[in-house]
Amino acid sequence: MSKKTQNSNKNVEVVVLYCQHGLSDDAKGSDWSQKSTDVSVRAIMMPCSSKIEVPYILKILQAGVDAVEIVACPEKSCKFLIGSRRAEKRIEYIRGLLEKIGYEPQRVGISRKLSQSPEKLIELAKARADAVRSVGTNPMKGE
Amino acid sequence: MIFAEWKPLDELVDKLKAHKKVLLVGCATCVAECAAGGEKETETLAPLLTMALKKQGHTVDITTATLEKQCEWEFVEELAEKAANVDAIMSLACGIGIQALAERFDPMPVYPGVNTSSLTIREEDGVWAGRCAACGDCVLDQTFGFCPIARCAKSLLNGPCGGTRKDGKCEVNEDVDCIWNLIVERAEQRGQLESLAEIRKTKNWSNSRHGGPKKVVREDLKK
Amino acid sequence: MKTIVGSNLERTLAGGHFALTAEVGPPRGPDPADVVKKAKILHGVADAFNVTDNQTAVVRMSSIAASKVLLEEGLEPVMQIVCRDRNRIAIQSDLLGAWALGLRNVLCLSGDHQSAGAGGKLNGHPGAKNVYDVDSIQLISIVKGLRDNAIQDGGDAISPAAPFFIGAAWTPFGPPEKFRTIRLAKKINAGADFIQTQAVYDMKRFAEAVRRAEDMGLTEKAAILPGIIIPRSAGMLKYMNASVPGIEVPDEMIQRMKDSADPKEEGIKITLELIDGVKNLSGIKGVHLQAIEAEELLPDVIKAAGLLPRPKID
Repeated sequence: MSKKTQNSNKNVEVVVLYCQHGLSDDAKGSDWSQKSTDVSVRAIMMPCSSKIEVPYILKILQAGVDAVEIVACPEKSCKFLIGSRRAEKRIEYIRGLLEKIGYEPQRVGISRKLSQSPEKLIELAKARADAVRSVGTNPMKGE
Repeated sequence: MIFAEWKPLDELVDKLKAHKKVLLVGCATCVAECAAGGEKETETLAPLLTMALKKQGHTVDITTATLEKQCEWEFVEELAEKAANVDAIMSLACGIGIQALAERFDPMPVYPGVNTSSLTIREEDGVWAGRCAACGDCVLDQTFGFCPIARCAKSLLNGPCGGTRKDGKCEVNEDVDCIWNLIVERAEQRGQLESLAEIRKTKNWSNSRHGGPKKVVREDLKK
Repeated sequence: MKTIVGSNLERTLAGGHFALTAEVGPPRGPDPADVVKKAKILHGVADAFNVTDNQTAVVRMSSIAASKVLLEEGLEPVMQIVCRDRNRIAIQSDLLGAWALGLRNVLCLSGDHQSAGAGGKLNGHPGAKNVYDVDSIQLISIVKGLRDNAIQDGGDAISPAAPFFIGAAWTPFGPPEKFRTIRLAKKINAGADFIQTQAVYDMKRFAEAVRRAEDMGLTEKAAILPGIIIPRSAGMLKYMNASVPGIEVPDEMIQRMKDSADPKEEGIKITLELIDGVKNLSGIKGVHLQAIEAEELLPDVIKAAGLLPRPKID
């Protein structure tokens, strides 16, 4: 069996960090964490995507999570004006750092969406999972 | 501020791979201002190095601490307990802080995590530029507040070389102003261009590093 | 005719002749034969020959050694000194050594920054530590001190004095343009006897700059020799205009080279016109001709300009 197919059967762990302002009204307060055979999603609400600091994301990866998806508001809808733009720049910075230490930059991504339902967040998480499935599990994953 | 930047990450990984427990120490003053060694950068670098080392097959436990000032003994002392539990230290402070740790925690290996290069100002968010070269013989009054030692690639004292670009930038770096172009501009604005016609004699560099290592004693302040 | 140094260049200028200097770049290796070869081509075609000092910060045979080789071949050198690589101790020591070897003309320059060496096809030494202990104007003062006062910069006396004919550079078109004439004055006040300029292509602007210098009395105090680099293609002119600070090439000249069926020939024609142009300028005492990496062009161009034979000075 090729490495790729091996990995494709494995469970991919994704953490979604989403901005509270980007949620649809009915979705607030629900529990999104979802486990399926091939993807585990943990979703964490943030007051604003700009509050997501570089060390915070790196520590999630250090803990062995395969990928992190940030869901930010579109630039014009950002409640703190430049919050989501800042978040995007940080993600670019982290991707650069990951590349320098031999990790795949696609382990971190950002989407800009409004009115997210739980289902849509899960979809975004799955898309991120698909992006890292082929590169294998995070080397930090516990032995 | 004293300006420093991270050393290349592979260089840092290379230094730490022989160790099991490492203390990564930041400093909350200059290196925090230049976003190289403050608390945020220390907490960024720790997981990054851990991940990089792990990928190369080395499990290294990296703990962190960020001191108020790595160049003051009373703050350095705060590390004593943490330092007792590691086999190496990496410092993200300027060369002063790195040496303070090396002296206090001898014979523990203390690695520099940054390269310290200059005395800068933050021109705007994310942009730093050199302002002072610690030459020991300040001429800023003669040059209308622009330092030709730190800001001219050739430290010229008598005006610009022939390398000023058409747009007034320096031949060495198209993003940097020819400082003599600015000096002349300001002199002209103040109607004092003539003051720059005076020949500035050879400079005495002996009050800088060129005169040997610095040591100053003030009896009035000694205990 | 009053001279203090007695070099051929000084006596040519003192005799009222239109002086001609040319440039010889030392080789990147140690073989004196490379210098001798150029010397044989250039023998007798100019009054003195500038020997560059690690130009563009690329390591070459030292200016002092290559100057001595030229001297042995019967050519009078103008030893160039840059401030990039040596402090005041080394520079003065080399000046005394140069005088001992019979070198009598020096050109004092700031020097290209060491980062320039990695700009072209060569590696250079961009990681080098530079010196810039003194600047070009201070260097002129130092040479003048050794000559006129027999005294080193630090105040120690030397015996005998070391008389040099002192040269400096002028970039009339670089910003801040208004200051460039003042800087020229500083160099002349510091002790410069002759001035070689950055390459001139825009005759109209150059004439204006010289007029400003003349108004300040500078053309009387020092001999100004405009620099002319023989152009060999439209691309070369375009490059110099865009990328070499202080060089201004009019658009018409670039177009003229572009339109020409034989750019090399056209470049020589342009050179002859430029020589003619500066010859007719009031306050100009000679010309400094360069054919970068193509010194073999010089004899024919100089002949065609009617500047041969060079005056014989006793």
